[in-house]
Amino acid sequence: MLSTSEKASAKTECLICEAINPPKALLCSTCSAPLALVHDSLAQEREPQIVSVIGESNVGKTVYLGFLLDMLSQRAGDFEAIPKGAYSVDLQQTVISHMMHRAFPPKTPMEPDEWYWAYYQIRRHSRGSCWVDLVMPDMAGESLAAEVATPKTITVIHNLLTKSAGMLLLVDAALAANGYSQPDFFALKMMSYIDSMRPAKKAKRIRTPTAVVLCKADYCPECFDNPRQFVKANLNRLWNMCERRFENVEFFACSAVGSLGYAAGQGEEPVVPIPLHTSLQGVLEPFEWVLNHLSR
Amino acid sequence: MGAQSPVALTEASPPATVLGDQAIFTSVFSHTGEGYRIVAASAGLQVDERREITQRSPSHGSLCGEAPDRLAVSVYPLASGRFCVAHSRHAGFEHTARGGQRVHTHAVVLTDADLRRFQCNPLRVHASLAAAIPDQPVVKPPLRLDPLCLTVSPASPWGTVTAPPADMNAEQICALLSLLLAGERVVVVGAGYSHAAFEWTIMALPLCARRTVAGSVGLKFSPGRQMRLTFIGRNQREAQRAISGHGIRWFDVASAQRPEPSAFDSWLEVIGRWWSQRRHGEISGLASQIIQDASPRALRRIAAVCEDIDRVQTAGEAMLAALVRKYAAFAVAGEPEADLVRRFREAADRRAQLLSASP
Repeated sequence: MLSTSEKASAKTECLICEAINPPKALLCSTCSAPLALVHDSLAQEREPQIVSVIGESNVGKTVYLGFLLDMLSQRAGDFEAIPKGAYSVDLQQTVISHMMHRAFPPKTPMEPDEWYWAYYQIRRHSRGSCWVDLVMPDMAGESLAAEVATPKTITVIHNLLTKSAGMLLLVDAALAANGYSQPDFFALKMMSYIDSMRPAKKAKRIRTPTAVVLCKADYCPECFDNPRQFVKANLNRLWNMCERRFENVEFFACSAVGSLGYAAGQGEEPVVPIPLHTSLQGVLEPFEWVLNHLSR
Repeated sequence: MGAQSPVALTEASPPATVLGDQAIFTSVFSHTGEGYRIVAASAGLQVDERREITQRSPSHGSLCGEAPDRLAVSVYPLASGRFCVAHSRHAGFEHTARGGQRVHTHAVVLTDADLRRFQCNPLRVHASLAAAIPDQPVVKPPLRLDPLCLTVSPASPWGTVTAPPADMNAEQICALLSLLLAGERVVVVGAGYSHAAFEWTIMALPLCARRTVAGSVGLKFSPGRQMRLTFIGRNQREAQRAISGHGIRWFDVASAQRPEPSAFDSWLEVIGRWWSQRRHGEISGLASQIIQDASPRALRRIAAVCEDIDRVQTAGEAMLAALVRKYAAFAVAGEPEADLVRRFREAADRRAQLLSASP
């Protein structure tokens, strides 16, 4: 049995794609995942579980994940959360500092080496429950779309989703409520991709806990009252797919921005949405549901 | 050797134009999608080629520098056997208005035969590509594009579109070539966003090696792009972090050392000497002739003939006779050697006439 220090000095097997990397490497040569994840998980001597936040470009994955991590680290909802390594704090810091200055965080680039990754130890504070190690990458929506459209384009996504113990699928409720079909189609493609990559038998439904999160629900507050009904009515393709192929799925509504202003630019500058204040609703619940279903 | 060597390829009678498949990779909002993706392409582009272009194209914030007029070039062979040359630039503000500028990449895909019409010089292809596409990037092109018609522009006397870079000396170029010939992946800093340094590095490689080099200039380094040669201008801390431990060479032009001893030393010696003597055209001309075998042995033999051609220019009678004897029964291996030996004999004849004419 190798000691922790011996393990750290040996070649590093990537947590995500299992490629072997030299000891001094910081990023995986194959998928660009930070190898600090591996070193940290070795130090914990506990197998980390991956929870993936997925969704279309501009749906709000970065904002959602940033606020979620910040809430967890502030012990919201009776959770206790410890970030493993400074890199785990970068995302929430970026999101909080931008929102404090009334700006949305920058767009996540497609290049996986530019993504934020968070490694947290999480448990319920009062119930004395066991620690769970969670790895949560902030993937670019375009990368997800590219992988879904042509599998093996962005291999890290394939590996991440294969290994995910839980998923949060973010869908733009505001667009869906306005009659746009794009959110429904993207979510359907995403679920179909996940369905096809799992080696489950045709008749067997996928058991990975999957929370469908209706984002920007402040635009359509009826989501909060009955998210299931909203999905059934406005995202019917997704609803049918979930019903048919996913055994462990729940629907939630969520909103991060309380009110939005728009700054008109000069000349060719675009109209910039300004988050005037944050008003978090339903951020923690989907995560809590996934966490509760991880160990089952 | 003459000041400007003729190239082996059919430079004299190139077709005026070639057709290549094209693709535009950028971020737009449409009814079917959002964000960076191939938003338009010609019908001949294969699924696997689209995948590779998606993998290697720059997304948000990937150009070196934020200036609106910043340009980048990326060139890479595709698994299909074709070759892609891409022109990236900023195209106004990104539609989500989350900061930064939209990166717009226009790629053209050529067959090997068409690439040869440009002497396998991807910067020449890029020059034609830049001339063929609109000055202002088209942000919302039609989904289906026609193949792109590229004009095979006449090359400069050196076979390049740029003049030799003033900021790279012989030692630096040889050190860089040495790494590339050894198959290393290199990130180059300190040469500015120098298209000239990029082009001349590629053009100093034997033609058959040029086709295998995936490279970029003006793009930030990203391991996912799988480039062998990346000119990133200024030092970027993220790039150092990304290459750490992976054996990718960090090549700072300013502090480049003499190349480590390698099997390509005799070849590099000739290149280095010619570079110092500003015989840049001869470098690209000779390298363009090597279309099949760039093994250390083949390059060593070619380098030896080049040395003798240079030597014969100043040879005395005894040395001239010895050199002529050497090449009297010289068994040439391949077209580049045959051409060089022919040129040796011409140079020897000229030298003999000169010696006999002098008192």
